[in-house]
Amino acid sequence: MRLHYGNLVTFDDPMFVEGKWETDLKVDYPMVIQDDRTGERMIRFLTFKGLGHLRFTQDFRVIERTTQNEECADLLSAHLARWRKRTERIVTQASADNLARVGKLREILHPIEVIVSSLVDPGEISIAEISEWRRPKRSKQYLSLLEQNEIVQRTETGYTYGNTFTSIQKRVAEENPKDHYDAIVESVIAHVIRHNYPVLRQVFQLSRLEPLVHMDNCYYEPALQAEKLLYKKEGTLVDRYNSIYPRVSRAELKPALHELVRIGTLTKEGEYFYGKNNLFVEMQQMQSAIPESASLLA
Amino acid sequence: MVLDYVRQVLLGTAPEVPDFEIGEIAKIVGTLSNGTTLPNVLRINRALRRAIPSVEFSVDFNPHDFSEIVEELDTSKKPVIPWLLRHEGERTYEHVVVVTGYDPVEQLISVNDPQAAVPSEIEVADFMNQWEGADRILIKLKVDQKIQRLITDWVEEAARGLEVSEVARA
Repeated sequence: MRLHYGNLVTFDDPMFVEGKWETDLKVDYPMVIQDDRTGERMIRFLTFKGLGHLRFTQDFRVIERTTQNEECADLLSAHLARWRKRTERIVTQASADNLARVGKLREILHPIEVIVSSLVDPGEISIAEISEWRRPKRSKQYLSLLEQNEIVQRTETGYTYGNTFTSIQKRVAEENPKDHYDAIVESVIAHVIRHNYPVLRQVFQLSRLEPLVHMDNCYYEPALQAEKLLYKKEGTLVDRYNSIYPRVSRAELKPALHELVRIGTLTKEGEYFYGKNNLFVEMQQMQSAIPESASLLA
Repeated sequence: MVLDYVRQVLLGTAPEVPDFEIGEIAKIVGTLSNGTTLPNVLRINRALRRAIPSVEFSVDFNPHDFSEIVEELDTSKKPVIPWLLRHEGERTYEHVVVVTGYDPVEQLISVNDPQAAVPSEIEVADFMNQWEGADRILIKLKVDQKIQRLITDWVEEAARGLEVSEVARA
């Protein structure tokens, strides 16, 4: 086993089935996590199962090896990538209210603001009106997305506000009775980020949030593994970013970190960045609710 | 359904692409009462190894992008098979469908879903959430990417004066 797979791949206790021994391959992937202020180091393990199986004769000669070492390595990196995407999704959903405050986002998501402004007053959007907007096709795409989020609903002549919009409007009015237009726009954008960030990123090609989401994940992913908030130096976060995402210079990543502090997903204490407890608790709750899909049964 | 599409639509007529019954496919990919696994899907490639032109299903465990679905549908005119995570009350389960189209204005995805009797549409927002839930796994179709031909065709082409290497490249 060691000769063929190295020291990372292990196996479950073999079972004797129909005159042969059988065992499943797995990896307990170690991660070293450090708190930069206290210097405390922790090791956590990610277990990835389903890497294949082995069958042996009674005298332990291998008679079936479903996965070669190189395939195991590919499967492991795919498992890691999928695990990282899952964590990223949790971090993005929990940080949605903050991400909606990112500078220039409203400019990029201008069609959403135009739609929201019509929902606030006069409360409806006619089909004729949409064709007069600056980018009617793009606006229709956003209308479809907002309809799928129940922000708008179709009428015989166009669109009006949907149930989710009414709830957002009511909540914002209670929290901020005066001049709540900006808060409504921000809440609608936050709602779309929380429920449909993959659509914004992949279908609408919104790239403005990506470095922030990735950097946010660089902080919270180890914190979630450590099960506590950690103090992290700028250099540690930049190095982590460049070890898991396409390389970006430190000078370009610094503004992303400061933007995260500005919008309130991280705080800064001297030279250290530190997470927000309310966001972290929400992420932990989401993490425990997400089902494992390692078996890939469909 | 995908093999029928390859035989009848993509290739016009392709007698050398096997026409498996659904039960045969289920047996090949090891479908049990709880479904099958992604690695098992690869077994269909062995059953298709003598298809002319070559037909393969490309399976990997890495997360894919939505742009790949659009490219397969628009450029290659080929359906794709995404893995989805569905919710039924408190329960979740993984499921596969065949994506056959995308309407960018209405933001709708056309699918052939084994759970539905007829082709249907899913809102992109729902589709992306279900696909994300299953880590954006995607099975793609590769057609005619390997040189495969019958010996009779090869002999006929060779007789027409083509060099062996040209035949192989053709």
